[in-house]
Amino acid sequence: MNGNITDNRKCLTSDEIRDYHLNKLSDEKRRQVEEHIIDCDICSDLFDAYENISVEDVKKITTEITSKIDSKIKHKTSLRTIIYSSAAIIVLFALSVLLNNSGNSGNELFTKYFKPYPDVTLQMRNETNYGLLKKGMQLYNRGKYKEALKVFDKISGQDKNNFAEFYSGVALIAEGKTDSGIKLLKNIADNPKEYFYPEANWYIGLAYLKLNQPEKAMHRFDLIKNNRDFKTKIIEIKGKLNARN
Amino acid sequence: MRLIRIEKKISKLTDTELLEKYKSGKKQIYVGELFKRYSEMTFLVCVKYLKNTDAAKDAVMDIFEILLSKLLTQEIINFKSWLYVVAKNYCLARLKNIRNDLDINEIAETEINFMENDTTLNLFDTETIAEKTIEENLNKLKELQKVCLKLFYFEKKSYLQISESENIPVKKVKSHIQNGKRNLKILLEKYIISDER
Repeated sequence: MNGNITDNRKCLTSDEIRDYHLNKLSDEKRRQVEEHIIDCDICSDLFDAYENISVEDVKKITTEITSKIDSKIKHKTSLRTIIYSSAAIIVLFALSVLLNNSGNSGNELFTKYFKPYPDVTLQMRNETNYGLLKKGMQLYNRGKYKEALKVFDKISGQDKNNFAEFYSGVALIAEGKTDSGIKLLKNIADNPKEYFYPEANWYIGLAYLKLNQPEKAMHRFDLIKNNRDFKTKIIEIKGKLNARN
Repeated sequence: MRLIRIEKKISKLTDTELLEKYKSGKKQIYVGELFKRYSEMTFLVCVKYLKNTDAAKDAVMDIFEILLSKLLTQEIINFKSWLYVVAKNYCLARLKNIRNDLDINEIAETEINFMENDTTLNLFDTETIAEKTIEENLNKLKELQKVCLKLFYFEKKSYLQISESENIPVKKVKSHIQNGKRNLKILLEKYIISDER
């Protein structure tokens, strides 16, 4: 340390104090040191300290202290880096979990948008199998999908516009049998002439979201993106999927 | 490599800048740099008061720890003088075994003389104060204070010369001059005030 100990132009440098004790100063310089320490508390104390320690020891111990402080800071800094890094990893992990489980995950989107298709079978009342269809729909409307599926199965493929097949597909998805629901609904969704074509694609899309297959879901949604019943909801889902990515 | 670059950059900052950076980011590297600049001063102050090298080394590290928290809350104008007071009072408190009761806030406000000021410089300026007045007030001081002051300022003797001529230790010479000058200043201030009235 060659600068002024007290960082004041009038104060003595550590070298001046050291050299005074080593008798290395000229008479004039010695006089300046002696005059200064009369009025300066700090320099006076530093001057006095040399009564208890040698110049060599001061240099040695100051170096020792400096390296101790360095290692203390580096240790704390590296420790802090480890803590911060760990914290950052935990936060990122928590965020990813949160994102996957709140709002934008496929499963969440499915839960948000999936609603069993309303009963529109009244228009079928003049059909031959309307009695069974009505019975199945009564169970479906009460959320008794298993029982409803058994009834629908009896008339599947026989009713006009594939009502039983469509509601069976929706019931299967509602029951958690997603793959089976998709498979059944594809019979309708792959034919644009089908009565429930847009609805079947909508439910297949939702089922793919649940299976965490957003590309397949979007493919189905794209087929019906201009349908006024689904247009807004599809835009919302697209936005949420993009935000997730 | 990055750390070396940062350290180089930090070494160019002023004490005030280091203090501000530490206060805003709480990064210890700034206090480290600041403290290292005055580690020799801190150590010597501890040696002076504790009169034990090992105890002084421990004290310096303790003071460093104190700084880490105190710097965040204290308004510091001159870090060196503040640190000096902190170190000195830490040692005095330690000597009195009252370290736990140490109130850094209070001690940091203690006034110190860490440089010569105009008043002390002019103390023996005969153009400002009549020589006769100084002489009269000098005679009011204790004998050794008076002798040491006269020899040091009027006869320009060194500590060692005074020590030899008066047969007192060098340390005592310095002490007599310091105390004598302080007391003389008080006497002269009283004299000036009464004279003005």
